[in-house]
Amino acid sequence: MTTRLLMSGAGKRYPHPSLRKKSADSWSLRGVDLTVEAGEIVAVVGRNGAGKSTLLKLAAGVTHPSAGEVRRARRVAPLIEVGAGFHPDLTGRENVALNGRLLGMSDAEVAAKLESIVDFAELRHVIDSPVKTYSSGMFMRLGFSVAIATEPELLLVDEVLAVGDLPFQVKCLDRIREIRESGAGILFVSHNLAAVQSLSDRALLLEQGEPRLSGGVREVIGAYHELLALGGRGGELGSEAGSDAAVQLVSSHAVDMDGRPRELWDPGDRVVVEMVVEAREDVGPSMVGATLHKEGGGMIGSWLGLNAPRLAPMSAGERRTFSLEVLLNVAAGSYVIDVGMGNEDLSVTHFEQPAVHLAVSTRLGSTGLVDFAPVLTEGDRAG
Amino acid sequence: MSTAPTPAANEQLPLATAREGSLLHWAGITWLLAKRTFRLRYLGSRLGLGWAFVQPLVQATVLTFLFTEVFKVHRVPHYPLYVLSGVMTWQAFAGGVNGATTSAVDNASLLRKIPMPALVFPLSQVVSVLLVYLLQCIVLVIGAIAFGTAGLQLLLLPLVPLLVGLIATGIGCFTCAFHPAIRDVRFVVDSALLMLFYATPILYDPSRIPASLRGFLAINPMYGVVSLARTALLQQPYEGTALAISFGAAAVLVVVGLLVFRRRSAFFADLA
Repeated sequence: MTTRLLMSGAGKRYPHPSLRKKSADSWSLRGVDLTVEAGEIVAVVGRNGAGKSTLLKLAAGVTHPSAGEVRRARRVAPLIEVGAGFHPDLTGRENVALNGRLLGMSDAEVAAKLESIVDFAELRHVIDSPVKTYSSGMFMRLGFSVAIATEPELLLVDEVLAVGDLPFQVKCLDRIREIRESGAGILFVSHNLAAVQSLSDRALLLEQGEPRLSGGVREVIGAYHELLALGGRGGELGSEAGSDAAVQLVSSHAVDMDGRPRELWDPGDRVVVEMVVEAREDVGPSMVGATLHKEGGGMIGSWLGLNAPRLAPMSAGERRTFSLEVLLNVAAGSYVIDVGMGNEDLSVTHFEQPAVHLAVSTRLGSTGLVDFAPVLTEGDRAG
Repeated sequence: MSTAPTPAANEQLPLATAREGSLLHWAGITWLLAKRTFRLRYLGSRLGLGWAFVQPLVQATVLTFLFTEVFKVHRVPHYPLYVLSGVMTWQAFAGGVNGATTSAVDNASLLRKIPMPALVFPLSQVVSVLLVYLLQCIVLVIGAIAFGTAGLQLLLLPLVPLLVGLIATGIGCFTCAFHPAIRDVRFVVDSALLMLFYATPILYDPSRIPASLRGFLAINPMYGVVSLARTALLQQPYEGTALAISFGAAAVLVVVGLLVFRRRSAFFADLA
């Protein structure tokens, strides 16, 4: 098999040693061993600041590793920021010519591919206008089209799947698969876990600049969610949120109907959110409510326990365990369930905060917000 | 059996930071970037490239009036062409150095995202300035014909843009190498160029300066370049020592500039 990217013990420390004032050891990335073989898509996930962008820069070779070694195939298309270097005053055509050359195409190649680049970007009507007149979507479409036209051996993708509208995204994903078929290796950073799951062969989880877990996509996404849940949202919250609230969420986690924790949920699963709260002052009977948010996508649903039993009064210092069972009829993505508690007429809120993070897997062929679980039957169903 | 890639297989993959595209490819890109800079300088203005001629002509007219009518300091023959050749040559040099100095930071968006040798940025700045200067040289030659000073010595003129290019490349690469880390560099360059402007015989005739001091002025590599331009255009006597200093300085500056640039540009993406 041909290796397209090989990182061994790679690390990056900022700023450059000659500029560092004190001995502050600030490693943005440390001890990364990673290979991407031809025809493979490897995803990198992690929270903001986990070192994903640094890893891509090392792979692209725009920055030197402070430790270890990074080797890669010669022809690389770094989609670290699409349209990098586009000049607003030049026309789309002029920018494509320069950008294509910068990405390693020869003059003749650029000339030969210009038309197909323009067609792929669907920008034929404006290609001779300055790109400053383009919308941000058009700008990115053009940048993406140039980069993938270079027939890279290694493609580095940073969140560019947010390019343009849905049909264009689908086209991009198809093109990325095509590039993979042609024998390129693809390293892919995204917060879009659905895309990660549907595209990648393997995944790497980074946390605070260090590799946490490398392996199967499901496993890594699950670990990532555990991390999200622990990282100041839900879990052992302590003084993190609502420290002045009358009731504190002490712990919370999601389990399935058999009481087992899960890394990854499937659309249609029932989830039990188990919570322990502690009263910091006396509270009367309490009503419970919850909302379901898609990460980065707003609220999906909200519920107030008007018909549900009230939680019995609590005295200061008392702990109480309760659970909430919900149905996850949502499409693939990353979700948060917020839980709140208030007095009976809701004039006082005791607390309201994220309780659990849930990663929901892809049902093949399903997109959108909800999973409506279509079942196809041929012939007369009653028969 | 170990499944780890063998060292031999690893050797086939180049280091990610290696820039091994052919020299021709990067030279082509330098040329492309230079053309872009050239085009962008005049893009959108009505007069366009005309400004490359109008600006120095206005300057030369003002200076001619000032020095021959107001101050009446000294009489230099064909003073309009004398001052215009000095101003255009100087502006090419100063423009090249200024452009090259900030070029890495100006192109930070490219440096941080696309693997490429940073050298193309200062070089393309110098090349784009030379493009303008070469066109201006046509005006200077027309001037020499008009003043009746054109002759065989015009054949020396191509050496002037060559020297300007080399000296600006050497100094520009050197200053550009430090600018991303030390942003004061551009202001230091500005001030240094201002001092050097007056140390170069652009507005005045160096023969009016005491010989002892003149030898000191010739240490400035631009002294020899500007006087060569006047030898070519105005049949001024040729200043051998100054010219030798210019050529020597050009060679040393280019070598030092490129070496320093090579060392320091490795970390541009982290700093720019």
